[in-house]
Amino acid sequence: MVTTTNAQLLSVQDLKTYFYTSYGIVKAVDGVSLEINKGEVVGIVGESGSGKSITALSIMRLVPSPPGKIVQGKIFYKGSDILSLSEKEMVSIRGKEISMVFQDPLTFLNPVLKVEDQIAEAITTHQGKTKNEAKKEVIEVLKMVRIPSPSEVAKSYPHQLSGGMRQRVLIAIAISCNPSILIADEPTTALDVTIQAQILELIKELRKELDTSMILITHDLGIVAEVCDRVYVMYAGKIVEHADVYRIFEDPLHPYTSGLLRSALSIDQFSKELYTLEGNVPNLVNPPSGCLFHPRCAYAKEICREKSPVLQIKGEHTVACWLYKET
Amino acid sequence: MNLRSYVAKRFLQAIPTIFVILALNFAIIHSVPGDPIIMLIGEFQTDEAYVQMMRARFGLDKPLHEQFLIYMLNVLQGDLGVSVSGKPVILAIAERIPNTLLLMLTGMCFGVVFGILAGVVSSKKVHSIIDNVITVGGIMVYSMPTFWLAQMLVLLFAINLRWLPSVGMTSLRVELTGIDYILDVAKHLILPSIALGVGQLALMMRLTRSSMLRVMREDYITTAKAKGLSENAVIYKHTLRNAMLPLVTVIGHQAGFMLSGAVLTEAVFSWPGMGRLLTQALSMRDYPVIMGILLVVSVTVVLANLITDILYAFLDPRVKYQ
Amino acid sequence: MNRSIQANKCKVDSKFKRFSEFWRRYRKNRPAIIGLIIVAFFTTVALFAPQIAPYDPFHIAVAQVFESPNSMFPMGSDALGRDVFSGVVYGARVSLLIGFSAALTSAIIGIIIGSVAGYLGGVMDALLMRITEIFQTIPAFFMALVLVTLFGSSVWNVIILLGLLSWPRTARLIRAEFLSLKEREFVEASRAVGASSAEIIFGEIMPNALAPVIVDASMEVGRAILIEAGLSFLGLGDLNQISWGMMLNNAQPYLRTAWWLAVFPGACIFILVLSLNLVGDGLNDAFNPRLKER
Repeated sequence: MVTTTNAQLLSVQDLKTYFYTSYGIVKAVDGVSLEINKGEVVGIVGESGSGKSITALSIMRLVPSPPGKIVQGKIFYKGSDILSLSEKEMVSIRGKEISMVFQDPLTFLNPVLKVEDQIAEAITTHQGKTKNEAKKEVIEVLKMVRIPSPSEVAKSYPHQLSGGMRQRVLIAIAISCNPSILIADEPTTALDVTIQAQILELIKELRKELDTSMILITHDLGIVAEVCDRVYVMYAGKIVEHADVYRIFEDPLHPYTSGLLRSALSIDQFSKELYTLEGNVPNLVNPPSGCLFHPRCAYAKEICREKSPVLQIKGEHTVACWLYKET
Repeated sequence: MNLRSYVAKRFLQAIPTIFVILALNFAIIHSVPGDPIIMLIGEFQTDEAYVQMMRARFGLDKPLHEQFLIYMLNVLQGDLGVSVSGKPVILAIAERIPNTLLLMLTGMCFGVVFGILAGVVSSKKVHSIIDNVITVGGIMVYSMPTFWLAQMLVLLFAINLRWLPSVGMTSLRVELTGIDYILDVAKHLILPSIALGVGQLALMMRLTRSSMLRVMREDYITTAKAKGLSENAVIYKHTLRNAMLPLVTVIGHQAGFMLSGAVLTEAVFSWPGMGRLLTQALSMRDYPVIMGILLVVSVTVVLANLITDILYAFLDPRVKYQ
Repeated sequence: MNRSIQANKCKVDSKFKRFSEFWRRYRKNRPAIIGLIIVAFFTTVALFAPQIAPYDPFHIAVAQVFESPNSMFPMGSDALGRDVFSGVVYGARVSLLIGFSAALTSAIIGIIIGSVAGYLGGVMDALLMRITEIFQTIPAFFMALVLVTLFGSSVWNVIILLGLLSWPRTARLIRAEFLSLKEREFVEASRAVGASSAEIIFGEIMPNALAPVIVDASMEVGRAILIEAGLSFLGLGDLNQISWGMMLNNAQPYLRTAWWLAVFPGACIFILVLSLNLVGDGLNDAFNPRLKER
C-alpha cells in the first residue's frame, strides 16, 4: 500500500488529560503530540501507567469524566478539532470514523446481548440500515475476522465463546462501519500466547485488506516489531521517543527505550541474567522533579534532576532526553 | 446445568419448604393452650355432633404423627377447616383473594415502574439536586408506616380535596355494570394502591440507582459508547438491561412484604380483601380463618420466590446457556 | 507482668484511636448527626414522660372530647377527651422499648446462630442455613399478627416475637463475616500462638464482624418499631399501654372530623424511624469509608 505523505488523518497536539482524585491531581497524559497518516500503523509503547490508554480514550473522548478531564490540547481529525465538537457530533464519529478495540474481551462485551445484536447496533446506528439488513452485514463482518461458523457465533452470547473468539468479536464491532482509524488498546494482552499470535495475524491481514489506519497500543515490543510502521514511546504521560520502527529497534536513543528493548531481548537470547529496568513507574501525583525518568536512568546527570527535557529532533528520531543536545 | 434442570431443581427445593410450613402451622395449632379443635372450627361451638364430626375429620384422637398426615392430606385437598361463620375457610379466603391480588398487583406496578424511572433519573444525574431530592425522598418514604401514609392520603385527597373516595372497592348504593363498574373500581383503587406501592417505589428507586451506578462502571458500557451509540441508547439498551437483572429477584421476594402492607392498607380503606378478612378474623378470634390465611400466605410467598428465581434464570443468558 | 500491662494499654490506646477516627467520619455526615440528636431527643422524652406529659394519657374528660389543638391540649383531644400530646409522650416509651429490645434480642440470637454456623461450617452450617431460609420466607408481620393473637400481646411477648422473627438477617451477616475472616492470617497466627477457639472467636473475629451487625441492628430498631405500630394499629398491641399505633387505630374512624388524632402520632413514628435510618446509614458510611473523588 502506497502511503502518500501529508495524507494526515489525525493530529494530536499537546494533549493534557488530568485526573482529579482525593489524593491529588494525576497527570496521566501531560503534553502528548502525535500524528497518524493514511494507511499507517502507529504503535504507542510503554509500561502500564504510562498514559497510553488514556491517550486513546482522550481521542475518543471517553475519559471517565469525573474524575478525569481533558484540560488542554487539540485533536485534529479531517480538519476539525475533535475536542471542540458537541457530544452529538462526537457520537457520529465514534464507531464510524474512529473506533476502538479494547483489551479484555470478557468484560468489554455485554453479557446479556447476543453477538449479532452487539455488532448490528453499530451498523444500524451509523449506516441507517434496518435490523435485518444489519444482521446480514454481521455475518460478513464475522467472516472478515475469520470466525468459523459465523451464523452460529452470531446467535451466541459472549460467555459461550472462547477468549480468542470474543476478541475477534470486539474487532468485528470496531471494523463494522469501516472506520478511517482503528485504535487497538492492548488487543492481545488478555489472551493466551497461541491466541495472541492468531489475533496478531488477523490484525496484519486486516491491515492489508481494509483501508484503515491503526493506532496500536501495547507494552509488547514483539507486536510492535511485527505490525507497526512508526512508534511512539511513552513514559509517565509524556512521549520520550518517536521514530519509525526499524530505527527504534536498531538505534534506540532514549535510555528508557533501550531498557525496554534489552529486557525484551534478554528473554529471546537466553542470556544468563534477565535484564530488568530498575525502579517503578513514578507516582503521578507527586512526580519526580525534572525528567520523570531520571530516578531509574543509568545516565542521569545534574540537569536531568532539574529540568524536564523537551522533544528534539535528532536525525530521524524525535527524543526527549538531555543526553542529546540540539545540534 | 441448563434452564430445565434448574427449574426442576428449584421446584424440588420448594417441596421441603412447603412441608416445613405445613409442619409449623400444625405445630402452632397444637401448641396454643386449649383444645386444638378450636383452631379448626373456632371457639364456642355448641353443636356437639358437629364438633365430634370435625374431630374425626381431622383425626384429633389419633397419635400426633398420624394427625399431621391427616392434616396434610386435608390441606392438599383444600380442607382448611371451617370458619366460625360456618363457611369453609378455603371458600372465605378464595372470595377475597382476587381483591387483594388486584390491589397488590396495582400497587406493585405503580411502585416498580415509577421506582425504576426515579432510579434511572437519579443515577443519570448523580449527586445533583434532583438526585439528592429523590434519594432523601426515598429514605423518608421508607420510614413511614404504611397505614399512616394511607391515612394522610385519605386526609388530603379524599377529605380535603374530595378528588377520590376513601372507602371500599366500589361505590355504595349504586349498582354499576360493564365499563362503569371498571372505572368505579379504578377510582377506588388509586389511593390504596399508591399507599401500598409507595414503599416499593422507595426500595426500587434505591436499588435501581445503585445497580445503575454499578453497571455504568462496567467495561462493556465503554464499548457501547465507543460504538457511537446515543446516550439514551447506552442507558436503556445496555445499562438498564443489565442493572435490572438483580432487581427481578428483589421484586419477587417482596411478595411477603406486600402482603403485610396489604393487610394494613385494606384496614385503612376498608378494602374487601384477604387482609380485611384477617383483621376481622383476628378480632373475632376466628382461628380457623387465621390459620388458613397464614398457610395460604406462606405458600404464596414460597411460590412467588420460586417463580422469581425461575424468571431470573430465564432472563440472564449466563444462567440459561451453560 | 509489666509487658502485659503495656500490651493492654496499647490495645486500649489503639481502640480509642480507632473510635475517634470513626466518630470523626460519622460527624461529617450531617443527616446522621441530626438523626442521632432526634433519637436522643425521643429517648429523653420517653425517659421523662411522667414529668413532661401534662395529663395521664388514659384520663377521660368527657367534657373535652374532640378538641382541636389549643393551649390546653397542644395536640388536641380524642373521642374520650384524652390528651393527644400526653399520649404521644408516653407512646414514645413503648416504641423505643420494643424497638431497642427487639433489635437487641434478634441481634443476640442472630450472632449466636450465625457464629456457630460460620465457625463450624459443614453440616451444622448447612442445617442452620436451611432453618434461616425458612424463617426468612415466612412474612414476619403475618407471623407476628397470628402469634400475638394466639399467645397474647403483652410488651414482653411482642419483644420476644419480634426478636424471633428478625434474627435471620443478622445471622446471615455474622456468618458471612465469619466465613471470610476464618481463613485470614491473623486467625492462623492466633492459632499458632495457641489461642483457644473461644479466644479466637471473641477476641479476633467478633470485633471485625460486629460492624455490619451494628448497622443492621440500628435499622432493625426502626423496622421493629414499624411492626409494633402495625400490630397496635390493628388492635393487637398491649392494650394497657398507650402506643402510637394504638392512637392511629383510635383515629381511624374520625379522620374526617379530627385530623389531629392521626397526624401527630403517625408523624412521630415517621420521624423516629427516619432518624434511626439516618443513624444507620451514617454508621454504615463511617464503618466503610469510601474514597470519594472530587
